[in-house]
Amino acid sequence: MRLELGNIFIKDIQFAAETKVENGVLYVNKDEMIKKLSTIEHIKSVDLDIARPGESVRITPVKDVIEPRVKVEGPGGIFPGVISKVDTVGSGRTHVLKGAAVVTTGKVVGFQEGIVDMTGPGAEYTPFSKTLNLVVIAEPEDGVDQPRHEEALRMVGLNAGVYLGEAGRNVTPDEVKVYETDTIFEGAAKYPNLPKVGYVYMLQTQGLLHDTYVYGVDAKKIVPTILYPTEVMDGAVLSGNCVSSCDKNPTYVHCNNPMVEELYAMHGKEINFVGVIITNENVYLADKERSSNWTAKLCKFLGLDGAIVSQEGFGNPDTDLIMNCKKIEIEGVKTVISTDEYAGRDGASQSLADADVRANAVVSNGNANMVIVLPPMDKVIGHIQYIDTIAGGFDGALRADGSVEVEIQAITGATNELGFGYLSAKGY
Amino acid sequence: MEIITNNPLVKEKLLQKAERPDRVKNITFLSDCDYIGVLHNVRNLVHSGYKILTHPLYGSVKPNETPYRTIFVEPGTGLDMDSLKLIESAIQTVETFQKNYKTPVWDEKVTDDFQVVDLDLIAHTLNGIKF
Repeated sequence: MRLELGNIFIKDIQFAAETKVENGVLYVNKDEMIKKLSTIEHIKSVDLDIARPGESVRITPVKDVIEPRVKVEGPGGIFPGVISKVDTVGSGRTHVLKGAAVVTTGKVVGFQEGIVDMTGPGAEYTPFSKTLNLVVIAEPEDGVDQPRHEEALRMVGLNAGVYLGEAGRNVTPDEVKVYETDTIFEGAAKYPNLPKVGYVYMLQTQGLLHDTYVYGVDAKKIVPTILYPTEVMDGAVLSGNCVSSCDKNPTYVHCNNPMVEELYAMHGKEINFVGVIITNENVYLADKERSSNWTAKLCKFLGLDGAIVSQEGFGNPDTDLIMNCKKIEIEGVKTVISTDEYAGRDGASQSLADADVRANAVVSNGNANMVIVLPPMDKVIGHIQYIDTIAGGFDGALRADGSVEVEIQAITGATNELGFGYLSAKGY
Repeated sequence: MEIITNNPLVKEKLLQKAERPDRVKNITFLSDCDYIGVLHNVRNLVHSGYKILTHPLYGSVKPNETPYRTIFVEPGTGLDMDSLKLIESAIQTVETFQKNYKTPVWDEKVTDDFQVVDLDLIAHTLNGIKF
């Protein structure tokens, strides 16, 4: 499967009379976009704002981040099974408004977190301080329950991403990148001397604010299966979660999975990147056993020499991570696992809630318990009063001067376990 | 199976949300227990021969944020070492978090939301168990 990604570099976002991309500027017809998003079920009101890198702006609570993309050639459309039909995606050509992002903010429950500071020390911990953010502030109809509210907000974000992506349909991209995955036999024949490596992509799947969708299927209900890596670039996997935002994958990160990027970069040179195995992180222990058995079985079945395993979340998924690692290793496939740590404020406590001697190659993406003081910002988009009740926040976290003392687990993407952040370990 | 919980909403509504309420033999409601108290109760059950069916650290709301825990167990045949290891490491993790800072005293709006999320995760888990 071969996908061309045409990146259109966006240098600024401005509200204007017409939604279009011209000379690297994304112009947005505010009224038209609000009107479109207001038709989504259970949404009472929508407002839009723009937050640029370096501005004194705090966005909170961040629900999701979405990159505007549009399919211009090949089957299917962005976010298959949710926004587009369920056609298989990942081939043909997709245009990306690179540098732009939709950020959705809205209070689903009283303890949500997710801070994105566009400047100051907090900005150093989130990749979304570097993107030009079109912030969507969506409020639900009165009396809507939390599950419907979460779904409405999720659909607002995805639709906003698709709406803006459409502006890039007929624009000539600044660069075109090609990603190609052969069938297993063709790949093995083409690269007989390279180790066969797969990517085991663990998805958060527990319930309200802890869900992931694959082609529109609730990933709690899947058994591990195989995807072409390019499928994720067209939005085959998307986020339905936002609790403990430091180590949850926003939809933006799924589409830009750095594991996939890096494995492609090495493909044909150092490794043969065979494909992606997606698996889940359920609460029922028998599900964990079944999913990890199947993941290990698929690694063996694909004839892998090595597998990269990335986690999403903490606690419950630590067990899935270690089960995956242990069972894949028992099949004779070498593993590297990627996680983050909750090692206490001093970093001295045990990092994970589970361990195994076979987990001997681990990449850490930071200690989520680390404390940081975020200075006041001139402007807040969203609901600042919930800062006291977010993960990592505590009574008195929000100070009179507007500064906030939090653990970095409150910052969107701070310890992202795919390495989409600034605390990743890097080899030189 | 048997369910151990300190979430009043689980006690009140779980069976209404259950596709197969007949599978639940009993719900033990621990009204005066906190998060770690529920884990200690489950550890006692493990020592008396029970097996744990669901992960004690489910959900991303941290052990020093939410006061609520709900865990599924079933009677076993003797000491189940996997269950014992699981509950001991979960207790150790919770202690680490509590050392960072204690669970705040939340207002009712927040505790209501914690109950709702807990119930949702637990109801999904229960309805996902088919055999």
